[in-house]
Amino acid sequence: MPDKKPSLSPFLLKTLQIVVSKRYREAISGDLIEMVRGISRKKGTAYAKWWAVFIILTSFPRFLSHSFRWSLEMFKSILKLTLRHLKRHKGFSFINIAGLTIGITASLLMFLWVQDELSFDGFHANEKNIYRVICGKSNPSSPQGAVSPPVLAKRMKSDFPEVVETARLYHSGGILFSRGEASFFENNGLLVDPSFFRIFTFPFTLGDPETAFQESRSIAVSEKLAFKYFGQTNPLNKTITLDTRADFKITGVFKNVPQNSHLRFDYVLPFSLLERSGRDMNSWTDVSYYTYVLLREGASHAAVDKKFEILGSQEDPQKEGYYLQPLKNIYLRSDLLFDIGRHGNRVYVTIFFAAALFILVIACINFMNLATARSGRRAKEVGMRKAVGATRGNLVTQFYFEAFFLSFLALFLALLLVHFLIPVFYSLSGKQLSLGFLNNPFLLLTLAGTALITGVLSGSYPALFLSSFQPQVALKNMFNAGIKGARFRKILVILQFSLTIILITGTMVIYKQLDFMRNKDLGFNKDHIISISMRGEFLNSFSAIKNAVQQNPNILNISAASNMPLHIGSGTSHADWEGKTEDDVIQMQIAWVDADYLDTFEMKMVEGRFFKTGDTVDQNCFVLNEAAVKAMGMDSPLGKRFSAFGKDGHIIGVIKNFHYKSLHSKIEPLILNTDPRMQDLACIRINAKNIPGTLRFLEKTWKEYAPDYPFEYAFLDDEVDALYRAEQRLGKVFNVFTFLAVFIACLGLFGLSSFMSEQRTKEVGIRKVLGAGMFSIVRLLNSEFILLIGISSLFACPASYVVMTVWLQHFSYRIQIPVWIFLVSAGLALGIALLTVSQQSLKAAMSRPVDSIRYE
Amino acid sequence: MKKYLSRPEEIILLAVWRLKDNAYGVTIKKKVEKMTEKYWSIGAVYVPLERLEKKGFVRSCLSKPKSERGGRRKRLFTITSAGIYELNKIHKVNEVIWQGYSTDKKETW
Repeated sequence: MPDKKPSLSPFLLKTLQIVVSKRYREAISGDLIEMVRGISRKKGTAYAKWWAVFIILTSFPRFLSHSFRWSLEMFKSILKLTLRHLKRHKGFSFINIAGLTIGITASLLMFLWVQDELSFDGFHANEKNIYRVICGKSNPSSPQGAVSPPVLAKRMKSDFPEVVETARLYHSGGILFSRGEASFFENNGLLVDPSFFRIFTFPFTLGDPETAFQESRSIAVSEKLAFKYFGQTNPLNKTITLDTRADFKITGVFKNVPQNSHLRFDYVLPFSLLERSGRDMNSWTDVSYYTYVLLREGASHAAVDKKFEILGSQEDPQKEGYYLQPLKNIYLRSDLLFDIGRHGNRVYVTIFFAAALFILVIACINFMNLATARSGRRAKEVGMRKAVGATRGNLVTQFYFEAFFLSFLALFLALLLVHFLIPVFYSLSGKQLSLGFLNNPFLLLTLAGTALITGVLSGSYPALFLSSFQPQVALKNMFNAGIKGARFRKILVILQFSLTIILITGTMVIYKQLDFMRNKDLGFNKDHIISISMRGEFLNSFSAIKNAVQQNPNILNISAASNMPLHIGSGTSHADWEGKTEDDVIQMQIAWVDADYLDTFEMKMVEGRFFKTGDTVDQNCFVLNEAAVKAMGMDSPLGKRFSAFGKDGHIIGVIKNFHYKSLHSKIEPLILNTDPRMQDLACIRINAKNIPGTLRFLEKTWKEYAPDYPFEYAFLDDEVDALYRAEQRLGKVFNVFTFLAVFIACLGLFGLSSFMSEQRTKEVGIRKVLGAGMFSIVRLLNSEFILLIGISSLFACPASYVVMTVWLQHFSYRIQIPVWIFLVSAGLALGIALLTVSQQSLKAAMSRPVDSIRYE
Repeated sequence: MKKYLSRPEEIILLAVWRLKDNAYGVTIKKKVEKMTEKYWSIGAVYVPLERLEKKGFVRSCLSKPKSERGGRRKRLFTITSAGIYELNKIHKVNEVIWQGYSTDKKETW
């Protein structure tokens, strides 16, 4: 008997069981099995199986229509009621939906921004196992550098079993690309080992990264660069001239580096170029390289750090410590010396995230607030519907559905808005966002979750509380509900205005700090200074150019230097001086400047003298800044022995501290020295009059001396401003979002106050009849809101003080948060609130008592 | 006002009555298919059965597990006295409304 063999797959039985009501499940599957066995005895198993599928499929419609038909009918009626309700209360509906929509839109944009920041370097396939070698003394307070000596890469690969692949990287600096007519400086280039493309995911569209760098004169370019020089034609195997001297063959084209990569580059040259140029690749002291490492899956970087310790102590003459820094930490979590690439700011990410959350919370509160406030007037409806036979379940469904309908409608509108606002946001924040839902189910879930929670919270009060009313109570005593919810609504308003005040304060503090940074005395005059970089043969002809340029009376001063006083970034911790002890490890920055630097930038000496023109002896002299002298603890520095960068000399002067980096960092010890080979930047102070004429003159002069190079210049004050671009953008974005938050909070308040004054219409009417003046009535209606906002400021001021103090920690030079900021923002909030509320109060106060008493 | 049974309900109820104490899914399905000479899906059998049970015209109990049903029990349906009463009513109505009708082709038009 083949009965033991189950002739029906469990899957089919399961499908059937979904649709059948519980009571019949067992019987039906039993019936089915019995029938199938009967058929299979007569017509064979295969036939029986298909027959079973057929019979189950044909059963579906019957069961489905039976169970769905009535719920569909109910749903239709709920939807109809909801729409009717929205139409009936157009004002409330508008405020409710608009507030929530704007709130979700704003916070969604900010969340997208945050998400973009957090996504940096996440696109590499090996993302989790990529590290960068950083160096520094183990002492945590001493600064660490993002750089490492070239020998490490080789040693790691051969000695450390955890290491799969290493790649060295060197930033090329600007190179002049020319092909035919087209000739531009390209500043974003890297020299890398071929293994670079095995570690990172930068896919090639043409050529193969494995074979692209076999010849030393080969170059891979980005699609953007390829288009710039070759247009639509295939650039592969064509040549391009670099720095007017050497022809390089294009052996690869890679996809443009994604926006969210900390490494940005447009072309890649083989690292072997450096080896050929005679650099010592076994050096432990030449730290001009970046080393990236791919570890074996599951290997811990702490183990590698341990091995570094042993290797370093045995072989490194400088006894530096080396560590691995996870790739994910580079963009947001590192503050290293000599770093390359783009950097974000964790503080801003946190602030944005918090602000987005704030706005979302405000909008949701607003939504709930209105829903609960309005529910009072629906008590009657509840009573009525119960009287005609609605069950509590019906009412719960109805109220929840309305809440969900509104919150999801708002979500939908917000998504639409975000879609259209992305370009606007780009111009505001400089970040191209995308609404990539398909590749981010998390975001979609979060949004749906937000709408769901908002719906649940706003719907719960009417659904759970109102629906429990006895019909006769609800019909008779309709105002009870509104009063009962009042305390809850007051708490909501307090929370909402606290958040608004925090945002207003934040905006003001940010603006104050930006203003402070813009106007702070930097220790030099940044106005009307232009810088022109000198490349190639330029360096030798600087004195000739200088002579030619100085003929023009509009050129006030010209100086050759390695850096302008804003990006001085190279340094050493191996300087030596008279009286140095073993424990003195001081990181010092260095800039090479000529004798005119001091006057060009209008800096001041504290003691001693600056370099003299034409004095070659001065090449072994040093000028230090006050911070350096203080760090060394010298009492009378003049004439003391000092050596750094292979030069042995003495200190001839002390220069007054000036800011040579952004105001985020403190003024650190600085060495100034003269070395014409390093001074590749011409800094020119020009007269404020006739700037275009002066620029034309400079261009003409430049072309005479270096016709091959394009004339490119930059204004110092622009570049100083660029240091704070992130803050300026933050300020702008914050401004907009604060405005939105205030707007949303006002919408909520407006709805609430109009509701409350409506509820008191009768009271106002009687008061007027008894002789109350308009002023006293407005005061009566407003006083409650004033109290609420007073309480909010009590909460908000300390909170915003803490938050903004944390933000300001980020700047070495920062403002004290003045007390008036809190007063102003509280006052502002109060003013806005009163303006909103008074509109309703005035309307109530000015209405004719006859109308108001007749109300109902 | 009580509604009449629907046509499928009526047919199923009659099938249950006819099958006496052996009325369960498979036999009912076979019976109605034989009577109507049409395919009845399982859904088409059980949905009216469920309604009939709710209305109290049939009641059901579970049998012992049967091996030829994969160890599952039968749900045996029996007609209640209310069901019999309902059948009588329908029969009367049917007689009235069908009175005088014959399948003679000449009388159709």
